[in-house]
Amino acid sequence: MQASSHKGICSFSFLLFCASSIPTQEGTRLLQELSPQEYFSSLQAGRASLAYFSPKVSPGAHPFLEQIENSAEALQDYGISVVKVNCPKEDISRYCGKENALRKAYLFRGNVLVREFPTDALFDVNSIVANVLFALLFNEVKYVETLEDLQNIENTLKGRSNMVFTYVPATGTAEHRAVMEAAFVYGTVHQFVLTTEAMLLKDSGNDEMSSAQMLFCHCQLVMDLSQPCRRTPMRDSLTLLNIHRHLKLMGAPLVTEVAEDPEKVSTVHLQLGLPLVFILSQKETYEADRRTAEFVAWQLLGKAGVALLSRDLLDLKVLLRSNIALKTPDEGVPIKYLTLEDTDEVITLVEDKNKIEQIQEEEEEEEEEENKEDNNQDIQDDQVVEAVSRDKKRELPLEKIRVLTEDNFHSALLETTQTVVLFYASWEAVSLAVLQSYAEVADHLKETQGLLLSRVNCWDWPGVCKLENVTQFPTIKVYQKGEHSVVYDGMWGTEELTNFIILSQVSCPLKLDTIDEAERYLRGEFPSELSSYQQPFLLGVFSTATSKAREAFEEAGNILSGHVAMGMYLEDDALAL
Amino acid sequence: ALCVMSSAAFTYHDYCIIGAGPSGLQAAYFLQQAGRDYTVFERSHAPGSFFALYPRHRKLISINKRYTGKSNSEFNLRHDWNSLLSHDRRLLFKHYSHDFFPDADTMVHYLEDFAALLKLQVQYNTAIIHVTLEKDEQAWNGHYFLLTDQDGQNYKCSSLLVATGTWVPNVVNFPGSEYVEGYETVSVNPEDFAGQTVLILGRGNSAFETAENILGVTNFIHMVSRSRVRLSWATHYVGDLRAINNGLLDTYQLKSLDGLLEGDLEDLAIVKDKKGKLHITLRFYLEDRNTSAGIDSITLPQDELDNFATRAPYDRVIRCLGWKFDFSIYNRSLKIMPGKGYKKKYPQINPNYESRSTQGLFVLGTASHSVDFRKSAGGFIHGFRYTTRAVHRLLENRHHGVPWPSTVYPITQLTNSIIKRVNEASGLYQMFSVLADIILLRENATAFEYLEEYPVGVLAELEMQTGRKAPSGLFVIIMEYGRNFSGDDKDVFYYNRAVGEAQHAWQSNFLHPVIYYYKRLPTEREMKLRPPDWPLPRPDAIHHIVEDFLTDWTAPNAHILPLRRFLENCLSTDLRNFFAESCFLFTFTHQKLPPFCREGYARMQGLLGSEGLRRHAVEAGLLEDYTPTDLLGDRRPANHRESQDQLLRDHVITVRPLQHLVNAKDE
Repeated sequence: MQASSHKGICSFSFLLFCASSIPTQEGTRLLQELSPQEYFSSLQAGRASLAYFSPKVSPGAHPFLEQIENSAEALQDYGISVVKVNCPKEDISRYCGKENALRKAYLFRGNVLVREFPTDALFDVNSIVANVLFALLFNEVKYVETLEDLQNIENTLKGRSNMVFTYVPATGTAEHRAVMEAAFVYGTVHQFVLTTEAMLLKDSGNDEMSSAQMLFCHCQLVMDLSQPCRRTPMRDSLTLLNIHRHLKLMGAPLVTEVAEDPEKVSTVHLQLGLPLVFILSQKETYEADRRTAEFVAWQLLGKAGVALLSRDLLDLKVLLRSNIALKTPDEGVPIKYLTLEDTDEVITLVEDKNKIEQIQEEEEEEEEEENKEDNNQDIQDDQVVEAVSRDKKRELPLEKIRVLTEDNFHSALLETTQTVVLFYASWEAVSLAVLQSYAEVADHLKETQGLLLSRVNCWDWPGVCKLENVTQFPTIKVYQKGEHSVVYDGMWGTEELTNFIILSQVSCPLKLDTIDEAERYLRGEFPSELSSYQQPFLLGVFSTATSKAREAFEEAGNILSGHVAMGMYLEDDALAL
Repeated sequence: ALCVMSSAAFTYHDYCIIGAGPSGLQAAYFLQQAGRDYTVFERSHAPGSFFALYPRHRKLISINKRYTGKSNSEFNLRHDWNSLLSHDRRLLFKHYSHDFFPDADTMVHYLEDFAALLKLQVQYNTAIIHVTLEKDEQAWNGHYFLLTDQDGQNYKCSSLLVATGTWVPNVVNFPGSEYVEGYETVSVNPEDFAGQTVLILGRGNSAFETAENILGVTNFIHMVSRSRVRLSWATHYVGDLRAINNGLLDTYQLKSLDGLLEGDLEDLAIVKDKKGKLHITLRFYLEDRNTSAGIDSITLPQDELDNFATRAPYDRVIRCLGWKFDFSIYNRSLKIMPGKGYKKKYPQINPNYESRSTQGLFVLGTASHSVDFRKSAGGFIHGFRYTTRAVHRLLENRHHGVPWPSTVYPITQLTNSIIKRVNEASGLYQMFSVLADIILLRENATAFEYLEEYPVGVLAELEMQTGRKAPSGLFVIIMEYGRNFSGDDKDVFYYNRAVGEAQHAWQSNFLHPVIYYYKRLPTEREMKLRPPDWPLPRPDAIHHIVEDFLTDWTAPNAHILPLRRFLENCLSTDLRNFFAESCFLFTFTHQKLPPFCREGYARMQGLLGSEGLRRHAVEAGLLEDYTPTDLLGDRRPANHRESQDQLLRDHVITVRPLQHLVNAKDE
């Protein structure tokens, strides 16, 4: 495709070259003045000429003659010669004889008369060129008046070639001339259709009817007759150069696949001064990227080119998250690599040039932020981990806590009535924080009889921890006589844990046998295990008749075990309390 | 159960295992533990018949490391290459041998104990000589396996576990190969080689082991093989030449007459002269020639090239070319095909160890090594003891509705559970790049499910194979060597080979943990299209934990912190730990509670922390200092309002926002 677009450029520049150089070669005077005999004998087959028959210099035809003389140069470019035939006085032949004929200009191809124009239709150079080409390019440029005609043409073109549909408010205008001139070059490539009926344009969904409008209809791609041809309106005014540009862009491939350094890539778009958007793709996402590229390309058709750049084929020195690159036609401006979220952003990127800078600034800021954060990446921001590691050189007073292993775990549980086990991992911060509190608990409870505080490092003895169903660190379990165990589910604090352990020593609720016991219980003197417990005591007093309430109290006690001290008195003299 | 069919009687079992070697017994153990109906068929009178014969020189090259300085039994299995997996602590190999490289007899003894102590169902003296299929729609796999033993006894099984190892010696046929002695029968007495010149064919551990044994008594030893020597320490593959056997390399490079040559054995020919000496020539010279005409008429390479390397005649030629799988017992309908190329000694199997062609036939042990040949340890006891367990777990799910064992944790345990496993898991470590731990995320990433040692080759089929669901993305934890570190031509001792800094973790060369993050389960297509040498397809994010000299990945800043940040980025959540004080503050400010506070503090399980620790956190600027609050009471009332304002300002704790971008730069 690259090659063909280059060819296009060449032919265009050749045309410009012809247009500018031929007049100077031919001299200044392009309007030939011939006699009828000379004129008719000079007519060559296939060569078009515009003739104006003049008996003498008639005063009325003078301004027209001036215009026709001016148009000679323009028509020359299209191989059409302009001839003023001087009719001798006595000539009464077909063209010279009739008075009427003298008010007309005649267009011949070879010696066949193609069209006669009333002189008032040829009011200026534009109208002359437009009308002459219009007549000559009868097949290349179809004139339609109704929507139906347009539809018919469109239908016949589907799957075969594309259509350039133009609305001009009137024939003979500068726009009309531009269209005809374009048709002269592209008429064999695309089917041109012209209308002066604004109605037809209205139907195609355009509101601006006042000015000329050109639509490129992509009929070649349409395989299904029921489908309409996709249309791309030309945004710029109808001048030959703009039309040429537009058609060039429409002819370029929708998405160009690129596998070279994007700095070196050049497409029609860049040559025509439009930006080129690269969609960065990789093998894994190729299909999706291709679809995205095509979607974006349709949206940007005529505004920017779209290329699919395969990252796998070349070593791009850009961030992996960049997905879009933008190359502007300006020389020396480096390609911008961006990360965009969706296709809308790509489109606004092109349509709104300011946006580019905005996004780039944002990205740069982001990068700066990232850099800053990168610097923060290795700074510990976990308060527990940091606190523990700042404390790591201090040796904890753990001598009151027995270390249990796979070998002595089960025997140790049987040695005392109550064993508290902290399961932890020596590398884990929360475990180590709890271990500190646990050491304080051990200090508080060092006098307590029948109580063993112990720990198992699960990093050393994963088997024990697994058997004891410990899946999280830390976990504290209180074992009663080596069998029944309770998992501690309170706050990881010295005081809370201490209270829990103290309360766990006595049953909950505690059955009190005598009034004396009940009173000592309320004073905090009984049982002796709770003597260091500072929180309120709860006593339930039941008569033998209130068995339901008692059951509820006992159930509550089971749930609150370890958290609240609960006593229960239910002897006959309960009412005495 | 004994059943009588129209023609033959047969015994039925759900599972039949062929071979009571290490992998057969390992499979039997798991089936026994699960209470399944199984039996093991062993052709010999005792387990481990291969080890009763091989290695000929009786020294195992799998290490028996008795001390690691650690008591963690799981970790210690990383350095115990001989034990099988069981709950019985007596069955650790270190209790059987004090040798770092134990004697093969010890292995036989160990296997006998393993079968006996665990009361495994093994039927000895039963050689399965034929395996065929019986179509039956009722059967688990649409067919039963019919086994026939040497006495014509028939057995019928729903699932067949082939644990026969590779025991058929590889032989090459060339003119004169009748003069070659096999490794299986060659003398192991060095005295028999005194003053002899020996040529060894092959370049594996058996070849070097044979050379090592006679190195000191021979004139010289030459060793010829097609491929160049692959050193285990360079390839990081334990099946390549181990340093314990490499004495010949020493004597070769120091020009002590021994030597190594490369050449295709197929092109070789051996001619015996009148004195009984063996001459090396090329098959090419022997074509269209009558070999019986005697040595004088045969062209030797040195006749044309008078410095031909192996021009000296040999006294003995020994073949040490390894073994292959016994394909002969399977009926053609099972379509048990040899692998391609250098894997042709193994049967073709899928990454879940099931035969490619016959459903319900699983290959275990050494014979299953095609999955990770020349890569990981699946062909050796310390590798296949884990893959056998994986196969058992797949079978439990497939036939008994027992899903893959898993544990559900709250998200706060995410970092911990990974750190715990990468530090102690032996299956991940031995079967690197083959078995992986899988973390299945629950909705909203509030909890996760942890699956251990799943074969990554069948990651796409995870839901079907394990009975677990992966609705909200997953992490895959795997261990890897650096991509371009291993290879037979690699210098593994180059300067700066070790990476120390966490930010360069992705360049780590030595075995290190790698965590892959997928937003959804990869598809089979993605698995198929993954880059060559990648165990897994391209993830949404990847994290390498930097390699560690001590393989201890518990450093708070170098290992745990970068891992936590990676996980946070993937899940857009805050996985930090907080003291209760911070949680309290979060609760009363607009900030969303981090999971640690939500799971702990908000459920009355907050971490109060000792005073000393809180002070450290304050000093680190991570916890607000409240001590001035208590002093305020002493101040004059006039200042009260002002200081309250001051107080309010102070109270706005600055908790740095987390970077919630998926950082793909690690790649």
